[in-house]
Amino acid sequence: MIKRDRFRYLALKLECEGNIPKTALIKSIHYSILRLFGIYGLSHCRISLIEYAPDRKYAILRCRHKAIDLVRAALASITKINDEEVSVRILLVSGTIRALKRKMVEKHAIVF
Amino acid sequence: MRKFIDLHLIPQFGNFEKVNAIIKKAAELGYYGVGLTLTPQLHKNYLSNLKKACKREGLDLITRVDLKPGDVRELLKELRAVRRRFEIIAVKCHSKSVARQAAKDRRVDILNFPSNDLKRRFFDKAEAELASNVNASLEIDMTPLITCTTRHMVNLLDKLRREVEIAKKFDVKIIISSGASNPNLMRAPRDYVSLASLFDLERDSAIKALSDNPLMIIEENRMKLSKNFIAPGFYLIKRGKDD
Repeated sequence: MIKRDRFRYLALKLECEGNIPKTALIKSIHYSILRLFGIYGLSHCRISLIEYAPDRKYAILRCRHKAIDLVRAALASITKINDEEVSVRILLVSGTIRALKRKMVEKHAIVF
Repeated sequence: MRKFIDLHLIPQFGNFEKVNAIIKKAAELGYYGVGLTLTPQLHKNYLSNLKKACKREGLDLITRVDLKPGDVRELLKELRAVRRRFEIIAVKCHSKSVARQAAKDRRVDILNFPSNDLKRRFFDKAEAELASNVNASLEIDMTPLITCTTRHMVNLLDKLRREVEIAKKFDVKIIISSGASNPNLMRAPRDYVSLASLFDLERDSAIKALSDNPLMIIEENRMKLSKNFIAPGFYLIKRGKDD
């Protein structure tokens, strides 16, 4: 029997001065994974940006649970987006969006 | 809970606000202690301000100096001058003779090799054997890895993979640190663990390289620098008169 995909949801905080558009963020995450792990690695990740608040600089990213280390490494290696210095910090990782949002409120007092 | 240490931060001491930003970021990222690279000429008042800033953020400040000697004589001279003043002594090895001498010397805690010039990374089997005898550690800075060009990264990863393999074979401890000079280049310990997989350092070893290995050096050196230290293996336990 084919197993259903399991995912992890990552709460991200972008540390930069200006605003970063959603397309630029997802492009740069893709590029970073491609750069480190190639097309094969990217195909394992099944990345999608679930939510993004550019003004508050928070995002929720979804990836396959087995690719979490790949994604962590790729996010850590992002230093610039659109010629602006950026660091992407993973605040929390969770198995469901609901649990992630709950933990965000409990631990960081952030409501998505 | 694990105590993670970032043993290599290189703040610009001219601007205290920037130093403070680095300290704050380290606390936010969940580090237990930070090793700030100081200069031997740094004023005592400045050092006490740094200690206060770290204490405010709940961080342990580890004083560190990076020696960049041009030749062996200079290295020995600098070691004599700074060993009793700093908790961590790292040597940036830009030549083979310096690298070999640093790996032989008990006063050296950390061997650091340049990441921009790969021909000057002299960590081979001979170097590892010497380092293993005196318990010196190999430091891997992560900032050059995340900021370099793709082409350079390919070569750097290849080199690091070989160095990690040699270090494991000769039982040389590995230390992973950021080598960051600005807060935007600092990353969380778990991110470094993931990045370390790029050069085939297993998860457990990478966690040790960020926590146990640096902590061990710090504890040992603090003990040596304390007033109760007499000689290796001999410590003063109690002072007073005989009853």
